[in-house]
Amino acid sequence: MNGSFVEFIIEYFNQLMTTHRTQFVTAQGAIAPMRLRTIFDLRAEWLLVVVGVIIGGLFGYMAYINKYPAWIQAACVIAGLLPAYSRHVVDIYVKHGWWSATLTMLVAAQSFHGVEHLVQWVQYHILRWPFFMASGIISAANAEWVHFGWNWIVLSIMIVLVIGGLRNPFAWLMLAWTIAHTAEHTYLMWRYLQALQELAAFGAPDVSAQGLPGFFGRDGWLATSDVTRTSFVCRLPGLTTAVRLDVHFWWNMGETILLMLATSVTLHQRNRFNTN
Amino acid sequence: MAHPTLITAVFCASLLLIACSGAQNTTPHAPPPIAKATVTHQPLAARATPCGDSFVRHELPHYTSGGAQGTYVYASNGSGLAVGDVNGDGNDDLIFGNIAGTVTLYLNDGHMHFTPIATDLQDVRALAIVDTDGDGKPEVVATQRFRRPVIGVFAHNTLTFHDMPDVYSAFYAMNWRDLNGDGKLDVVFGTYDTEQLQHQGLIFNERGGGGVFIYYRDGAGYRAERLNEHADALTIAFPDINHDGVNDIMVGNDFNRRDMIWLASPTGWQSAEPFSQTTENTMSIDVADAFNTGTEAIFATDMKPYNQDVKTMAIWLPAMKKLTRPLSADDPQYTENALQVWQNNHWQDLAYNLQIDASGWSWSGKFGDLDNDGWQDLYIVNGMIAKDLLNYLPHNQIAEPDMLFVNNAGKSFTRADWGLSNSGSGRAMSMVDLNHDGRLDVVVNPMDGHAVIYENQRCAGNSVELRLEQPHSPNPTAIGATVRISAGTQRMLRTVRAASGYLSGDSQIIHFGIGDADTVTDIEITWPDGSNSHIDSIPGNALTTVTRTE
Repeated sequence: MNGSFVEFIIEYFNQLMTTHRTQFVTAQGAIAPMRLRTIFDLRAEWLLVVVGVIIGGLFGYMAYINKYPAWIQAACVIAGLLPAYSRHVVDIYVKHGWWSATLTMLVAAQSFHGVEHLVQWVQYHILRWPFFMASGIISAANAEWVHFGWNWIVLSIMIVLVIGGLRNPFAWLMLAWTIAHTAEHTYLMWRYLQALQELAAFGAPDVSAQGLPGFFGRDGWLATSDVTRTSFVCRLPGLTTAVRLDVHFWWNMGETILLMLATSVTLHQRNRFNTN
Repeated sequence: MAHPTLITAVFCASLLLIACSGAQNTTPHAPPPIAKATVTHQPLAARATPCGDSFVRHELPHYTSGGAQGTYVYASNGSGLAVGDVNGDGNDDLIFGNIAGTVTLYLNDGHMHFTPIATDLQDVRALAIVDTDGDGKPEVVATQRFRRPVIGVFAHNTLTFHDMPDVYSAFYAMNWRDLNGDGKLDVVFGTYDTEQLQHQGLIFNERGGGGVFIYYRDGAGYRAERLNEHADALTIAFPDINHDGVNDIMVGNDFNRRDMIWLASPTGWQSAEPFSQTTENTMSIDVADAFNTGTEAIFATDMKPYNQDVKTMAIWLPAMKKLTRPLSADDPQYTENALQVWQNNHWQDLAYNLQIDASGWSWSGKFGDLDNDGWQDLYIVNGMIAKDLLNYLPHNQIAEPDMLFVNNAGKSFTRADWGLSNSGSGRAMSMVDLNHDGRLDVVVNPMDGHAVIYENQRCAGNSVELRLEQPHSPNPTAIGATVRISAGTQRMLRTVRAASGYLSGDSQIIHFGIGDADTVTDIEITWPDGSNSHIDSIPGNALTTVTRTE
């Protein structure tokens, strides 16, 4: 990377605001072909990965023996991997441009978020933890804020990527899916904050209100509201019968699959364009 | 060459074997013996008051109290009630349990007037009115929180209690049935270990602990069989789990302890886990033919708010977080009502699909045809009050309306009010026709509240009521007998039982709503010993007494 970090950021947003379909060229000229697997290919940073895992693992272990919560232990390990992945993203930026770098960050983070949902699923269905304990890894800090924040970030980045040229049927579907998912998390956040207020009014501010049912899913609005109770809508299989944790597992799975498909199609188009 | 005599012998032996095996194949079960019976009819009373669209609430003076200092957890579980004719006048009387106060018996004159009979019994859990000794006069049986069960005999306008013979532990739930086929009524008791441990400490275990026991009637006393050593039993029922025509035992446990089921078998009681999903804190069990299929479904209540709005959830969250614990990986328990229905050769929980999975902090939940349309409706009383557990709430109480779910011809359930949506802290509940008008009334014994009768004044269809009598049997009211009738296009099933739901003793007169039908036909009675009686028809709007003559 040439120049300071500030220059990097300025250039990034400059390209976003002033160019269209800029993923096909960089400031240095034509870009190298890129495949989907490049996003996950950390072989060039293997040394940083190993060092990061060791250091992150050590900090995680210290957090464990000092009885910090599990999400802090996990965060230590993940933080250890950040330098390696940051270098990887910068490398992609240099070789493939800002759009590819942004895409890389989103795909990698979305994939990690999928792991988070998978852990939640295991905690609830396999380990049979109560719903308010089955919060995943990082979400254990606060499942509502983590997922609310994460989904708004995903939506924002998707908008950036679409503006930058991620435009194919899968991308449009992904955008719609992300908007709906984020809307449900916004509804959940609103319920969460309301419940905290109610609990504070009862003098029980230390009780968490995380994990309440949302719009979809078992006991959600669609399943229990007075508007729907007397219609077939309130017992649509899956949409109103799956627990919240399952609903959001599939929300996330759908998002990840659509993102991968949209990315694949666009990268394929770009590689063909550059080859010609 | 073989000897001709040997060949003949082998041939004959082969024929005999084939004949024997053929006979076994063609007659797998002998037909049940026929029991002769006489039938008498007594018209039900004319419905005096003009009918309306709801029940009318009557409060009785009896007040179930948790204590002068307030109601704390476990006392807050409340006390039972029972229905039965203790004075032999043909009217079902009522008895209400109590915790800090005393038990009250109300004698029914059949016209919704009740005469209280005071007792000095306190700290009562389950109640049942059962003829335990087969002398033709029913007794009141009560389990107590920290003492052995007692039996009350009504004579000279006084109810006098004495200790139950051969039973020495403090039990919580109970139910009665002839479980060994000797014709006498046996009883299954279950302990509530969590409360006993709080009360006695670890010495409870050192003294032998608790569990589930069958007490078989043996002469003038009882002989015990212990089925297991731990329980938090709130309710006991006798569904036929494996459809072999024999009662099995089901115990509903509180506090994440799995429900327990024992199947009757020639080698003794075999434990089983036939359900893929169950309630987690089982408060009550009712066994009823909810869909007129001739097969009884099993309904269990749990604690799940009906509404999931923010205000309701905030009320529930602190308490639920105190009560909820992680479960093991293979655990089938979920915190919501369950309706186990036999479908496609296995039990399926249909409560969520039928929208009866959530009814608040639920206690007694029972089926009964409250509008006489031929389909049994579901009524559930609910609410919680506890100074320690709910100290963050006004009056330390989750107050929520009791839930009535009307059965829509077995296809769905719709929530209705009908004047039954009371917000008291309901516990025990039974359905009984108190004034012989052919409509089921509802009786509730709430916690920290007055006992309530909901008189059924709804415009309703026709009905028939049946009283089964076995005067020469030690089980004279035929507890455990089943009755199948046809009315219009419907075939219905009821079982005579001593108790159901939560701590609630039942009337031994069974009730069928029959809609517009004037008569019912093809009445098939299976007596507790397995013998059958068949009656071609009986008139509607009558109390029919079927008396076994042999």
